[in-house]
Amino acid sequence: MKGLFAGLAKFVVAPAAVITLLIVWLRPAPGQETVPFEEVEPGVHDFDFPAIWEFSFGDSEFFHLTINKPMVQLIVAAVAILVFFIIASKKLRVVPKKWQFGLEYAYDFIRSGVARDILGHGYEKHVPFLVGIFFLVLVNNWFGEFFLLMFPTWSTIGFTMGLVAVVFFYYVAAGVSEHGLKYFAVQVVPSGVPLWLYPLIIPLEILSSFVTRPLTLTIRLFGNMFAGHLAVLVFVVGGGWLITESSSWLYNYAGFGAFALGLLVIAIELFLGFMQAYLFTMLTTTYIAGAVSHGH
Amino acid sequence: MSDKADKPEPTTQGGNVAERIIAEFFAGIILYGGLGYLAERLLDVPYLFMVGILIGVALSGYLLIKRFGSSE
Repeated sequence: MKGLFAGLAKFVVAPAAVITLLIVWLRPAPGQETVPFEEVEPGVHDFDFPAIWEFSFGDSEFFHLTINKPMVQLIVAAVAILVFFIIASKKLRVVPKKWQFGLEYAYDFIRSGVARDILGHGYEKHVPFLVGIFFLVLVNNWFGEFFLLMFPTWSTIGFTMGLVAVVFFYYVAAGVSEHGLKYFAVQVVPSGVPLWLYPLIIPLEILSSFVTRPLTLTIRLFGNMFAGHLAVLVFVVGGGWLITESSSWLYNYAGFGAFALGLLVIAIELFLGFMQAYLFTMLTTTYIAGAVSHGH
Repeated sequence: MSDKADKPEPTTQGGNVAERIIAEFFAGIILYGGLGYLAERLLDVPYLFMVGILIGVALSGYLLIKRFGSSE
């Protein structure tokens, strides 16, 4: 318990105090011309990033590639996870040390807690994919609170759609490899429905199996990350504005309150990032389970 | 596509069912609402959009009752 408080003091209270002191120091004196803390209000434009690198192949617009911050984050996350797991699995011991215990716990959390519980028999071949998905989503969610990056990658919907496309093709492929092409018929044709309703039901089932299920998966992850990051932005930028720009001392103090609430929202975001990564992995697993199960 | 009895009951059946329900209603409203909207625009009848949405919701609900209603 003492260690926890020391950690809290080191990692939460000290940075908060430094930030507060910086803001007090940056606060303009009365009568001095003020420099805006933020010139524009937080909004959707905060999720657009300029290109860091640009590549052009010929004059065509199609071959004009741009790399921006979320793309770099995605690559950094993938490489970091890869390197971490490779290094960690090099020196495994029978009696685990602290870090190995943590690694095994995290791996087993997905392997036993999610994959084995939901998929049941024959779950082993899906474990690498699920662990990869979980850690990719988790690390990219936590980039929203990581001080160098401060941006959750999945709060831009294009990235979430790409991730869900991978998941979609994976579970369709799993279903096809399990049932053959009969998989599509199994997914689409309902049971216990009179024959004259089939023309009405089958388009509905096609849409619900292959369009709206991936769509809800996308919207859930994207919406949570987007809204959370926007809430952090509003509290932090708004608090900063109240402290630096507002003329009334009452509003200045309210700005400190908003800033403190912003830190609280960041803490909630840490939890939500984990929660959404877990939920995403769990729903992916249930989709795979629905695709490979017999007697659907 | 037989009954639910031979399916191994997953521990997170509830989450799966909730997911299916949301997806099913979305699909019904989007498909039949969209068809109703198109019919409304083409035939110039002012209420077909609403009728389409209602048909979609009804069909989705019927399917969901067929799929999940009997197992409890």
